[in-house]
Amino acid sequence: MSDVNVEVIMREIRNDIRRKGFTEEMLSFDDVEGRDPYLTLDFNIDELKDTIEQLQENNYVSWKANSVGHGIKGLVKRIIRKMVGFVVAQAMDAQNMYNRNVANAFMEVQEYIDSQNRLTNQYRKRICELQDRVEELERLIGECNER
Amino acid sequence: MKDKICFVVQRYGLDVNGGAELQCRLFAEHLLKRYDVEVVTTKAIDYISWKNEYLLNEETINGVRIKRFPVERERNLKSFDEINKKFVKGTLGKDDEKKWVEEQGPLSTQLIDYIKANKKTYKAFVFFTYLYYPTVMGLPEVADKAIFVPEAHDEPFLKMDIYKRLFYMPRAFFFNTEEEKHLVQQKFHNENIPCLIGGIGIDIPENLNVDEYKKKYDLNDYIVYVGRIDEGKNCHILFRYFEEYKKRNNNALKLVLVGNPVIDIPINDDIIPLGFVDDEDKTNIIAGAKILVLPSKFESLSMVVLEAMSVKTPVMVNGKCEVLKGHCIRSNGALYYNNYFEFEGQINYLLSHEKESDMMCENAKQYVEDNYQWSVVVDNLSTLVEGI
Repeated sequence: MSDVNVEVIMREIRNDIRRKGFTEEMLSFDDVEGRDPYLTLDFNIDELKDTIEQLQENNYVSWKANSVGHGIKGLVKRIIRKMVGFVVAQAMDAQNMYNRNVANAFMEVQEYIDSQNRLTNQYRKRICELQDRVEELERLIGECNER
Repeated sequence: MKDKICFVVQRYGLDVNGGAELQCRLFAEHLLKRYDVEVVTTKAIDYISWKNEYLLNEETINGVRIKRFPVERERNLKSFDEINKKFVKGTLGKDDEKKWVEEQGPLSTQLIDYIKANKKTYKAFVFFTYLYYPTVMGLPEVADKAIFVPEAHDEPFLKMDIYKRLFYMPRAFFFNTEEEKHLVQQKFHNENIPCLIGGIGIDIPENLNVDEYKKKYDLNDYIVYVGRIDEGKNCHILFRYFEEYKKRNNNALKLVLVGNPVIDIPINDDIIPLGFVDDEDKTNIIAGAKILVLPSKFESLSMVVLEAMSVKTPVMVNGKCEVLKGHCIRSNGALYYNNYFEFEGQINYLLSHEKESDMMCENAKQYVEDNYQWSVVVDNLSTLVEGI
């Protein structure tokens, strides 16, 4: 097999879509693939983890982050920023608080899914053991009946 | 003297479109060296109307003897829709399921009577496609000699009790893919019934002349869809996606459609319907395409994907279809999309990453060579026949 990995390529394409910020509103139709009532969306734990990681990294937005530049334009922008700062700063703080709560909530969801997966794996193992036992017992019963 | 085996399928013939029917014909022709193969089928060609179109009761195609029985009632779409609506709403009673199957068709009691009367004539019966009347009514009559090629995919009809019973009956299963086996065993817990994976053999074509066929059909840069042009194959979504792609991307790419249309095709300079073409043309058109795209959500194997892989054409499929996704992942040689933006992203990726695309195509070809050879398929089916 050649040295290429389809899953890595798919992730690269998905990340590119995310980076470009494409949304359904940009399309001239509803993306019915994702809305088909007969279908459930594919769940991919790795994608969820990737998304949560990004959410954790990017949930704080600083309203002063962007440089306003120099000269007259920069001066005007700085003045405007000072003038609206007392309103925007409060709104941004509230938004950042909300973002942090959302990010934490998703972290909790991921923890919960991981714990459920661990539990499911334990149950699976137990089921396999019980199946083996049932087969063994059936074999013994069969031998008894033959005697 | 060779043992006689009987193939049962809803339609059969060189004029019949459809993956399962083609698979049945190819199986029958490849098994001729080992068995005396007969096919029991109807006189229908069209799967929507089930109209009796073949005139002869018996004929031989490529060495395979065929017995054709008339369809007693063409499909009445209105009454089928009525009873199907009940199923969709969840109000179809268990007693009505037989009626649903009769409406689904092709209703041919003579075909079932023949199977019943000739159980002892054949060593084994191979039934193709779980959905239709000949299998649902015929298989129970010869269950202890039945090998079942269900062509199952994850669709709501599998919930019906009438199918639940059917999937416990055969002597053996011959599945197309691991995904199909997994689906059936997960739904019916019938792991105790012997099964093997079959699929199909893909003959890798040697003498391709892509340029000549591009010239013949006046094609340049294109992606291609091959198959029935039908809503059931999700073609309406493919049209929508491609039209959107063209609005958002300024390039010369066209969408070429090969196959008979059941739905309207949008009138658009970038969409080129070629209708039904013969196998040689089809293979060359696939080989000349930038990408083969298969939007269908319900496929139990997809020969066209394997054919494209065999001629090293990049493949993109609908990720909602587990079987198609399985081909992509196991081969490490094709891409699957889940929404419009992935569709667009993948086309552009394949067009702009020649090296990666070539590597994927190599992997895909190797996958077909390793897994889809007639010698393996025939050996496996023979093993099941001999086990009866």
